[in-house]
Amino acid sequence: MMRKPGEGTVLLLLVAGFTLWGIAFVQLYTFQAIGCRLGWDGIGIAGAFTLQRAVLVLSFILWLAAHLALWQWLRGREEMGAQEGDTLHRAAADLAVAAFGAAVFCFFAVFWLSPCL
Amino acid sequence: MNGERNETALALHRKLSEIWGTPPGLGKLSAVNHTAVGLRFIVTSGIFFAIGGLLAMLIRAQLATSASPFMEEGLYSQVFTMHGTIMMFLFAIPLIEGFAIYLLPKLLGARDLAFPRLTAFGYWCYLFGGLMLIGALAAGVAPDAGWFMYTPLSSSIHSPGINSDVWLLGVTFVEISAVCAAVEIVVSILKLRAPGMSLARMPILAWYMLVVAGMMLFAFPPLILGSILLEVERAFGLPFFDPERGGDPLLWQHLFWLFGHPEVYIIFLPAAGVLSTLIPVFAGRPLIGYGAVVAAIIAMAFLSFGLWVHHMYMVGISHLAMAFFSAASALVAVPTAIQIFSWLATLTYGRPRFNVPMLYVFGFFFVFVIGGLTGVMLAMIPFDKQAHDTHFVVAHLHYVLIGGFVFPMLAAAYYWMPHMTGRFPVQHLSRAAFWLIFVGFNVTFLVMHLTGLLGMPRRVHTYAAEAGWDTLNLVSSIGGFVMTFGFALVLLDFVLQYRYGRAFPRNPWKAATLEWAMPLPPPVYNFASLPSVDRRADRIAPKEIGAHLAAGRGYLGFARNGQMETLGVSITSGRLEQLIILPNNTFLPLWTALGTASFFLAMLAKLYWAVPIAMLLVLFCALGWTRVTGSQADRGALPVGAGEEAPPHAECSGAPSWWAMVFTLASNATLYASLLFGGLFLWTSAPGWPAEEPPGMSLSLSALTAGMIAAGGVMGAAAVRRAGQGPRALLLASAAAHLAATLLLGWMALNGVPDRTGHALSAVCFAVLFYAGFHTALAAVFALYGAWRDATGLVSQRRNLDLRIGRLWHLYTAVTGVLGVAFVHLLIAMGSAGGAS
Amino acid sequence: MGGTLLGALALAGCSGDLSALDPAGPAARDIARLWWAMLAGSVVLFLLVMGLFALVMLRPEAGRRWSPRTWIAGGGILMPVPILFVLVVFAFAQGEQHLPWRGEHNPVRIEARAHMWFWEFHYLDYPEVQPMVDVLHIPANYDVDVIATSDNVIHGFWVPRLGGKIDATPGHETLVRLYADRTGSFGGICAEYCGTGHAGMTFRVEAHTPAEFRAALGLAGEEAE
Ligand code: HEM
Ligand SMILES: [Cu+2]
Ligand SMILES: [Cu+2]
Repeated sequence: MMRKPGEGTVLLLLVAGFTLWGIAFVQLYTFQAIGCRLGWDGIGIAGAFTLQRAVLVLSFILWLAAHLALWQWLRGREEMGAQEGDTLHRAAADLAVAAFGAAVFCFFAVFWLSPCL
Repeated sequence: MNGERNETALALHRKLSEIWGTPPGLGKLSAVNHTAVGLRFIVTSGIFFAIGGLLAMLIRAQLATSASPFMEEGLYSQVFTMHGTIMMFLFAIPLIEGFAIYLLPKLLGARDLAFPRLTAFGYWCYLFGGLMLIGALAAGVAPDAGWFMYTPLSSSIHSPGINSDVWLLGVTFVEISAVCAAVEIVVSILKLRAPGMSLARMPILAWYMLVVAGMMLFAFPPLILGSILLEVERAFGLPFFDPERGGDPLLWQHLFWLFGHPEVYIIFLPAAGVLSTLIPVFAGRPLIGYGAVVAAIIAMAFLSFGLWVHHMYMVGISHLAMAFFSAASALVAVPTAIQIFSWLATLTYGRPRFNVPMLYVFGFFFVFVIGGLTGVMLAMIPFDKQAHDTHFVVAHLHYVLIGGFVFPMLAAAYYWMPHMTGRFPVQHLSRAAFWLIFVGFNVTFLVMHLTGLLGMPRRVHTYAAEAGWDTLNLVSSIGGFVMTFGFALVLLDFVLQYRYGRAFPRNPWKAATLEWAMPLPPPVYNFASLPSVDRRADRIAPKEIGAHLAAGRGYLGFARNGQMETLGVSITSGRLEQLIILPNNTFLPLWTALGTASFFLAMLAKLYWAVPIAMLLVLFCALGWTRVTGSQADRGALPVGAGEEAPPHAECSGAPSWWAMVFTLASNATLYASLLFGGLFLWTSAPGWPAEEPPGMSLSLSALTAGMIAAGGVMGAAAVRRAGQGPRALLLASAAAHLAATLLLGWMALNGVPDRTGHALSAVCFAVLFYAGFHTALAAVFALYGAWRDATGLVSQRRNLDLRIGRLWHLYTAVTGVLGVAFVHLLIAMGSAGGAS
Repeated sequence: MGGTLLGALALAGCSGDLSALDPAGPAARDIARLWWAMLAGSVVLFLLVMGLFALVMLRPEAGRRWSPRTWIAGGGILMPVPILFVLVVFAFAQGEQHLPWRGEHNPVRIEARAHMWFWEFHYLDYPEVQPMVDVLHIPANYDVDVIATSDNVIHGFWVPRLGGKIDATPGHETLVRLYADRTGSFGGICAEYCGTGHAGMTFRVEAHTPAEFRAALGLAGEEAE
């Protein structure tokens, strides 16, 4: 059958950034809950820095890196530029930056707030 | 254009009307046409709005003073619960659906939506579900636990009557219609556009509706799941939410708000789409920042799924976890601001005209901005600790819903009413009505913020005079009645317009979108021939194009074999791809909806023996839908006018129904993920874990089951490759494996999980196994159906659509089934006494 | 002069037994301040947007001195993001402050058991004291931790003048810290809808001096905490 690969790919690119943000959200929230359940915040690493916080901070940093990588990749695609979809490829790259910003804004509190209280 | 097909515009109009028209009399019930069904949705939702508004008046009358409550508390609780439920589920969402159903094909240059019978089925589900709820209200047994139905208040111990069942079943029934509409809207936008209309050329409203329908696919399943689980707990005693037996009331709250918050944006975004459409028209120039707006609404859609816990700051979640949600809630103001400033920029770079729709746009700006600002306040955890569950929240939510939805939809009504009726409104009345609503609204709800901060909780039927809330409440009530008067005037205005409005030429607003490129009121087939689009579709010239199309000079400007035909395009580029042949009017959607209604009524009446019969009835009806689809021979590319050709959709890889299955499964997967999440959530949060008497599962039996599921799925999927060369053996083998898997899963669920009503661990395991078994059973049906289609000559190498749709189901069943069996083992290991942790 | 008068009037309008705007403790006072600050900011933003709307409607050419990009990026991103960021950080800090873990002394611990439809208060530090119904005695100027729970439906424990509310959910124990910085009697009310008795599910919190507190609990003699 006439299978055309790539039909609607641009839609996937458009949602890529915030899908990553969504996965990061779920991961951080889940690990926060599971960590409290398993008592990770009682396990000190250095002073007030607990295993719980270490896991969350590390995840946060990795997610930021993933967002940046995605953004680079999308920018590359944008420059290669399919002419017709230009607006949309542009929007996809913008959305990836926005998702990075959203990740910083939503999760920076992992450095700071009480994880289990 | 083919010479012999050259017909005069009038003759063409006659022929197409005959093909696409709806029969008179009782035959109207068989209508599947999107214009007819869309209008039905809109009118029905208007009636529900009136009922909901009436209940609001009862509330305001009750609360006007502390002295004279006229309803006793039981009745009052039904009234506020039904007010909220009606407004959210029977008014707002269906109005959006109706609006989209009516408008989208016209906006996109198509003759109908992708699945006309599904449109009609969705309408009947909505109507019957709504009638169930209204019937209960009339009988005095309406739901009474608040529109979010928190357990355990809504559980059988504290709500033994059928009130809660009415909500759970009625709302689920209506949700089915919403998910149907969502699938249909997504597929129609992606596939049923005028050739040449690439994604980047779509009118902005189509982007909004695409995003909204996508959100509906993922937002409704958690609530549907929650409702099913709660109904199962109430009816059969499986504990999911009961804290005495390892369940957790908080699970309900998560599932509800995981739906409930996106819901607010599902309501707001179409209204914002209306603004993005109207403002350019009245500014006399195209929207500024098209790309930014597309990006903003996508961002908003995602962010709106990361906010739900802001309704749950009081339940004892840790500060850090709440902070994620708090920040996301604040952040969602940014895409909103982007849209607002795009609109302002569009106005400033245009020549704004001020008239009735713009008056409502002004109302939107004024009211919605306030609602958005109070929303940011409520997102702040400390402030919400005070304001939550008070009348401050009631004020906030009405500022958002009435400002962000009702005002824009009234603007839309004034803007598109002429499209629907072909007449123009009486301006003086319209303006007076607006000012009454606007002033009445602000008088009602502005002071209510203060009432809330002075400590008045929501959902109280009375209050003490010493509390000092009398004056404020009286002001609110007076404002409420002024507003009602305004709505009554709007209704009068519409009736007058319909009866006496002056007729007007095409395109009264000088809009530049396709829906105005047709005679008004619109003919049943929309366009006598279909346009091709060579620029962004909000910059076209409806007058010229309209004449061109009416003369039959576009695509499909002819009638062929009495078939209802429209065109399908490739998703991104909008290149002509397929000829879509739509099914004609039929009573089947009505019968199927009646079958579905009998299922819900049997549940409601607790006639559980009748439930499987009703399910079979629905399955039987659904199979009946396929009778008219399919063909005995390959047809290859057919002429579609304008010198071009396209194959019929059944011979295309990206047929609409194939995509519909993709999106249905995505939605289904969300439901499944919610179920698995629910199990893990109970393990982390619920009291009474680990379980004392965990279910016992034999590892070898589970492995056998998983193997069967996988074998059935793989064989069913592989059958596609043998299409045209005898796929039947594979399909029959697949069906057999699926049936065996169903039996094995049934055995595991019944025998391996004896203590289903004793502990949530068992209940969750049972639910997961049931889900898997339900899917394998249906997979067997798919396999047998494929074999039957093959036997009747409807399958060939080209016409393998049935098998490819089946393949999606087979693969989905295999993956989720195997995962389910593994999950059950994992959960038992983690959640039983003596296991890990 | 006029300003002070208006201010006094506004304050009078905000007083009340259940008013969150008439705080009698640090948590409620912080939140009331947060509210007034957010209100002021919101009024400014509201006037800004409506002013711009009037401008573009009445004198559209005036708005063209800013490019479309400036409108969208400036108004849609550069303006809101810093405001939101500051607000969020401030609210997080305040939320952290209100968590029940700071303080020099051990707080007085009270279990609030919600019933349909009354509150039963257990003095966990004084097992000999009988539980009380719909009256909660607390020492003034002292941290009090209320542990809310329920064995029926969900209720909401709320004393607006002393601080935020907390749900009493069956199967869970939730914690809220109260602190009254004066003696007196404060209204409390159930915030979460809990059935037909919801509106009547009110209670009182009496804040006492240490001696009065012991007397109210029927405890003999003076004893250092
Ligand atoms: C027509 C004017 C309206 C008035 C005067 C009005 C009034 C009210 C009042 C006073 C309440 C609070 C009841 C209580 O807590 O005791 C309420 C609740 C509510 N209203 Fe409205 N309303 C109106 C329109 C709407 C609209 C258009 C929507 C949605 C699109 C809506 C959605 C809700 C919801 C969801 C609730 C919460 C119900 C609950 O607590 O379970 N209302 N309304
Ligand atoms: Cu929300
Ligand atoms: Cu209550």
